[in-house]
Amino acid sequence: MRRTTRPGVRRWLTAAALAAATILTVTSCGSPDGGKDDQARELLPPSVVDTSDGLRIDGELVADKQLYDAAKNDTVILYSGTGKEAEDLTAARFMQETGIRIELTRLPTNKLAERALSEHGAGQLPAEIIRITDPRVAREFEKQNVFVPYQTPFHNLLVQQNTGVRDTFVNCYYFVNAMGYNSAMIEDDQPTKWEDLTDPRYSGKLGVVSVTTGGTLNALAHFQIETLGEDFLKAQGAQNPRIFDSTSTEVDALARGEIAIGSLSFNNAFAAQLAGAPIKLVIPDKGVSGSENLMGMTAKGVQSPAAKVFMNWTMSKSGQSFAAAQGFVPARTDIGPVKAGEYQLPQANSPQFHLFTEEQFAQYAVRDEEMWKKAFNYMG
Amino acid sequence: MSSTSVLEPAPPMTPRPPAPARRRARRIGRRGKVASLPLLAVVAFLVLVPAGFVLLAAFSKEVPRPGSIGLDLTLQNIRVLTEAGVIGATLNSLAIAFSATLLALAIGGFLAFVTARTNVPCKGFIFLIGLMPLFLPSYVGALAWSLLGSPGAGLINVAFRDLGMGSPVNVYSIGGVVMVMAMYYAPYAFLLMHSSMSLMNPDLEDASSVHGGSTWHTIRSVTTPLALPAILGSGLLMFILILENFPVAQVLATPGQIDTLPTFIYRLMNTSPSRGNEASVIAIVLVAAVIIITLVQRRILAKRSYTTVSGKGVKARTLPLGRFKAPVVAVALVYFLLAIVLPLLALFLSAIRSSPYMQSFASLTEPGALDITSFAHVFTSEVFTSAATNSVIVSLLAALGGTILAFLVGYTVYRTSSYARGLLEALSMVPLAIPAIVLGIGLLWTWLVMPIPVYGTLWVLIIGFVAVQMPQGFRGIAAAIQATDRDLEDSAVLLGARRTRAIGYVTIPLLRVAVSSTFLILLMLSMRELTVPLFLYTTDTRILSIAIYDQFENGGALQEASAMALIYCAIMFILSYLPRRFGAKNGAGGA
Repeated sequence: MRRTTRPGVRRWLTAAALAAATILTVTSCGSPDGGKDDQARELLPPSVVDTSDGLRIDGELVADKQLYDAAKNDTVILYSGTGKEAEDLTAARFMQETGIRIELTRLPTNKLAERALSEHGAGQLPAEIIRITDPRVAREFEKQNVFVPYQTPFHNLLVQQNTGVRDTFVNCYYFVNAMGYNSAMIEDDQPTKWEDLTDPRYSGKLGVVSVTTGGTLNALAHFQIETLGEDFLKAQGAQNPRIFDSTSTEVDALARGEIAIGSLSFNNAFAAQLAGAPIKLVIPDKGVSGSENLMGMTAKGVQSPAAKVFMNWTMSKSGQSFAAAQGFVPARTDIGPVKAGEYQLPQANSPQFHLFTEEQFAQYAVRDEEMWKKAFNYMG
Repeated sequence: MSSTSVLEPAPPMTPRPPAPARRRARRIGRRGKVASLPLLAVVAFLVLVPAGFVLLAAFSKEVPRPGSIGLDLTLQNIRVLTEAGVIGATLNSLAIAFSATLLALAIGGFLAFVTARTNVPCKGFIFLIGLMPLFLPSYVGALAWSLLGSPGAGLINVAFRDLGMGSPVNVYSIGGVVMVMAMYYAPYAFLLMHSSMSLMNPDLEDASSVHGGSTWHTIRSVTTPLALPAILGSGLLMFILILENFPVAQVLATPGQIDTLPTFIYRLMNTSPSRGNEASVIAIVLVAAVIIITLVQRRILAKRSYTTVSGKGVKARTLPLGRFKAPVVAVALVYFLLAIVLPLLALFLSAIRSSPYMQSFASLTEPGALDITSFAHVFTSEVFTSAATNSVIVSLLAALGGTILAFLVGYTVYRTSSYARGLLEALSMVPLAIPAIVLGIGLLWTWLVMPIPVYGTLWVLIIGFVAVQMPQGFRGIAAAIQATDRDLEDSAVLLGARRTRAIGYVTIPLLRVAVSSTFLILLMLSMRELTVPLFLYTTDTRILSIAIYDQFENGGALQEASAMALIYCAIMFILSYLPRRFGAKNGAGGA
């Protein structure tokens, strides 16, 4: 037996203790929100918040005095399929305007569905609000009573504007798929329309996200088939494109120069551009595809004042404007044009905005998926 | 009462009968006999229930979920096996596993032979070269190679373009995947073959050269066949590990539109709407393949006798290299460059580059192009600190739980006469036959359904890791328990201690090297584990391996991801070194 084992072990224990101490110290000096607070302020100038009698933002009543007073010390528990970057910015803005914290659990849509349905089945769903990008999942939630009815103060306005209000969930804003390119790789004769994606000079450099990734991609596929034709899909397939399993990997590959051009999730690519990537987005004349981001309250949520304030705020002018500033298309059509950086996305009632409705989902999603898989020779 | 104590002569010590291969434990009462049953229940629950759920899901219409575990059985999911994609993925998997195994055997065998049997200079350093890729998790190597060899923006291609020579390297290809897998699995072959060769009895080789055989002839017809168990053993082990490897395939094969079975399973689980039932069918096929290959390996190795280590203390024959010294060292250095140096440099460069886009190396000379403070930012960022804290907590508790469980199981199997000990041992080794990705899915469904609310917390990760690492834990402790004489413990009992006290005061201290070595190995494995937690984590329970993978995959954070990967590598190097430094010196038996 080695006599040196004891002092050796002692040395190791000291090193381990030092390492643990370092980690603990470093943990306590971590920056809490990673600068999201400042980013939120930069995206959109702060609104005028009046809390003298309830919560009024830019003159619009978001929560009456009773509700707001109850909500002030509460937290919102949010489950969301929207990208984490976007939700973190939204949470920062919400905190700035209301002082209420959001506790976020972010999962990709189908994992989120699994988790919420399982927890609900076991009677242990902690979520108060759930945001989901697939209307089929939202309907399943409604069927299983995960979502319960709730109406924001803007309910009649939303119905009037045809924003997508259902009994137990609402559309809070739309995801947009447009196109874009790497501006460091393509310096002259830059693309301006969808047809440029099939230009032979981009062969091998085209990026496409798989239609099986989520609801937003179903919307894009349908838009391309209906507006540009099935041959457009096949022409893209003939470009030897790189097919991605997620929108963020595609944006990353574009930023790195692995691909030069592609159809893109607008808010993802916009966030990358803001962070310094050499990406330029294009909003072609033929329009962009849109899909709903569906938001509903759970049984726990209707008992939570903070959750109610968050629902209301999301559908208020302030919440909708902030969504627009991030690169989404707001559900409400009465907030006027709000730019996302240098870009102006079409509003929800514009002919350039091609929404994939829930009915169309039920009718065309399977057909579109088959066509897409055939055009891109894609399995799975 | 008169105390005429008569000292009787001590009864003659009966000589102990020679111990059979597995000692029959002395009777320790009924309590001892059923000691295995609660353990059996725990181990069966940890391992068989997840496997059972996958089996159930393969033949159900809906994935298992609280409120919908029915026996609503169907055979329609089997149709997925006829999909062109599955057949393609299977062929790809087999081709990659086969080629990579051969390449890894060549690399490992070459390095093993060179360090064990020749007079190559810097032997210690070359031994380290053979060992080091084991310390680097294969997915970090794959991520680094993605940075180096991607066809558009890979650093190697950028360098070639700067020199005016086009972009020749594409790591998103079968060749690329085979190369990276071979490089990072070669150490398994290296370790096993090195111990086999260095313990080899030189008599047979001497006989060959006495009878006129040239050096090369001797190597071919004597040395290599004698090393065959090590070659076959490591070859089949690597084949299984490469076949079921998910992260390297996901990082390098998927971008090249090359599907493998694990990535296909992952993709089916992640599509919207999820196709979990079909994923389970393919998972079962993968498990069946792994079990068959393992049985084949056992059958081949069991039949032959390859005794090379005898009682005579002889040193293995050393081959003089002569003028081949320099080329041999060069080859070893090339391997070192490709497996360790280039990947770490690539990660370092990506960590200090402020823009993800780099058209040419000349752009690095521009002001503001390099930013070394990224390491400080990462170290203090919330992502890193929360992931690191989670990793430390999960790894420590999983290693602790795993060691305790392994000790209990090992003791029960080898020191008691409890019922079903063989079953207990077999169950402990079952996770080896189940690919990590399948186990991950099974654990997800198990803990979603169980009424205990551990899903979404760190506990589900801890439980998952304990389950996955049972074989390594058990093996680490079992060998030591078998090798330790039980007399000392029994003496304590004879002198009046209760059995548990005897274990605590005698056996555990005797086994402390094995116990601490096992703990350290489990700690390292837990820090490294990526595939199992991939289905179990949520945003608030990310661990370091997942955080790095996530950041690379989800993009927008290349700089942070690279910096974090480098810090992680440093941690892994230290953790991997510890079992070797403080653990039992048992040659190739370690991790």
